[in-house]
Amino acid sequence: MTRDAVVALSDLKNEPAWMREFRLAAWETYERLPQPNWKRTDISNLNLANLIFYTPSGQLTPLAQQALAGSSEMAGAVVQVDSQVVHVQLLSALLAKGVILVDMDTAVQQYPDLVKKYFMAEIIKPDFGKFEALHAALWSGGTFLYVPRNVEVEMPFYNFLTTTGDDRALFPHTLIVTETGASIHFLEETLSETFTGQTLVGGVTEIYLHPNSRVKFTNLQNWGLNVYNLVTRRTMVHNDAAINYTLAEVGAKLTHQYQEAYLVGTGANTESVGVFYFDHDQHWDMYALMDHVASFTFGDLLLRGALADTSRSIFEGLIKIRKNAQETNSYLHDNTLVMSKHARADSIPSLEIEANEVRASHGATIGQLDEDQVFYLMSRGIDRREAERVILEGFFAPVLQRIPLEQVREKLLGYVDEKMGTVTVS
Amino acid sequence: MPSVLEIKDLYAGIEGKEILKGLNLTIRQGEIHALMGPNGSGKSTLANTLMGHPDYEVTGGEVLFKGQNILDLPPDVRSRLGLFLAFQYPTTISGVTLAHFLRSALNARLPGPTDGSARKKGIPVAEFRKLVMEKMKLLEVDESFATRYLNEGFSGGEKKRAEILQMAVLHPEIAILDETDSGLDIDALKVVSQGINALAGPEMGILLITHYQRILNYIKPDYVHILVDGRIVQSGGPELAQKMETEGYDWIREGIADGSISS
Repeated sequence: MTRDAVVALSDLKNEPAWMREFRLAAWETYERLPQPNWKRTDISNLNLANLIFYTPSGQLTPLAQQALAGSSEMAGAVVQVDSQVVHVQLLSALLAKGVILVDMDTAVQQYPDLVKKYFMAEIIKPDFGKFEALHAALWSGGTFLYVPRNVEVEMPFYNFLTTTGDDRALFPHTLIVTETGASIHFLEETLSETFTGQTLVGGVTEIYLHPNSRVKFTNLQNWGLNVYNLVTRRTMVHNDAAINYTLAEVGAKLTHQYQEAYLVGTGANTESVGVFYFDHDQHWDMYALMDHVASFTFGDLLLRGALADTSRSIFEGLIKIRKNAQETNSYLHDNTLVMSKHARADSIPSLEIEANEVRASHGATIGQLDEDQVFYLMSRGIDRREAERVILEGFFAPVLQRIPLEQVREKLLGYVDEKMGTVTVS
Repeated sequence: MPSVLEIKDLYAGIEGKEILKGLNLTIRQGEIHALMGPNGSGKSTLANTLMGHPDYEVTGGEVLFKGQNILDLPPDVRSRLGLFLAFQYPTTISGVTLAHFLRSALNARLPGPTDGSARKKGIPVAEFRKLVMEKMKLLEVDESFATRYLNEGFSGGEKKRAEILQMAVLHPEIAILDETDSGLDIDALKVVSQGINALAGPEMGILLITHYQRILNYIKPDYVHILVDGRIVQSGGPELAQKMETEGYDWIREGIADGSISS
């Protein structure tokens, strides 16, 4: 990864000068910025020099084909394998309404004005952090979804992303723009086998909601256990618009993610739910921000997760209510079930409130499996593993009920079942 | 041949404290035994030890069920053998509906591995619904029970009825009812007792553990035993319960003190 490599990548993609300049400026930013100072997540083991930052695989792998099998019930789909999008489809009715669904590289060529306006320009800038700068310099693939005024789409748009081998670095970029009154659901599924070499996925997602538009964004994450999953996901929410995040995560060796919602318009709304299950030595670190800039905004985040073996979770949640954000309500709750004495959870919720007419609260619990509950279930003939699974499913229930897609719920529970089958009792 | 639960010279306790001190009791399928005892006599220790609660430690004796020593078996295996415990204080499990839980418990009884793989197939939903509806009707339990979370927000009476409903669905060969009557008002007690009577019969042996004589007005035991300080000090027929009603535990204590009752 060098400046020359950035130039070569831009040449390879035959990019316009403005994107090449953007990349080069980002590269300089990358070189200038210090390593991120993440207090509880150490990525010094990640050997960047060893990674191939651009892998044009160019074909649908069996996993990707399997993922596409259900896509007939989707408004559209974008499938990315390694660094390249290999398949894009969009319902013709939506195309006729002016919906744009293309891979990000195509967007640069075909919709330069829109890309220039939104791509790491306002929502996230390359100097957000070292990995965001690296992403800006080396991004490849990803999805551009543009939804014109008042177009409401019930079926989800589907984005599938996978890797096919060792030592890869992927920098997919997702940009979603909804014009006034538009409404969509975006399902992102990230999935891979576990390879032996390290893989870095440094994804950035930007979502821009114009007034009164609605986005449901769901991420189902089951990366292989060799993946360093660095996520930066930021949303700009204008008047009366609503972003609804759903996270369902079981994969990756290490995850560090920012999920930030900027409620810049009066009446803007963000509601999030998240559920995770980790085992082995998986490490998951999430920083969530609900930033209430305008008045009458609403925020709610509910997270439930469980940890087995020597896994570790860190959740840092911040509700920020600025001076002008009167009449704001904001709530943050996370509950973690620690199922092994070698697992560890940290929760650091906080409030920064500058306005006075607000309601805000946070609550966090970290608990262990209740042995009385286990005994109760076992006394009815249910064996220990199944008892733990039943209790866990019950613990997840408040979040599962709020996951908008049945298939996501089912897949998540399937993954958890699978993982629980391999848990080493400690 | 009826199944038999034989408790032989059982010593058990919790947190290093010995509570059961040589308890002997035999219960056959089809029999109703009432075990009465004052607070601290070891009633709950017996119930929890028989079911295999991990906090209770057995220090001597054995418990044979269908001829097999069950003390080394985990609770789920004891349950699948046909043993059941109706808890004095059933635990709450949020997010798990009673129906879902019962289905898991029934599926665990299907032949094959019990690790949840049977769960995928499981007993057919229609068959399960029919069974549960039938038992709910028998026990006069409201249908809404099935979709409520396990014991969450249940009143004392509802919890006990939910226990008896589980017993009805799982139809054990030997059921231990741990103070199922305590904390119930008279109406709730009647309903729960009717439920137990409806399930009792040649297929089921019942050990009815109670502090009070009151429930024995509704459920007629074949045998009555008095538990004091971890041992059964007196056994008899239903007339013994009557004596308890009128005289309380004092005559037992006096008898032990003057040596007319051996402890």
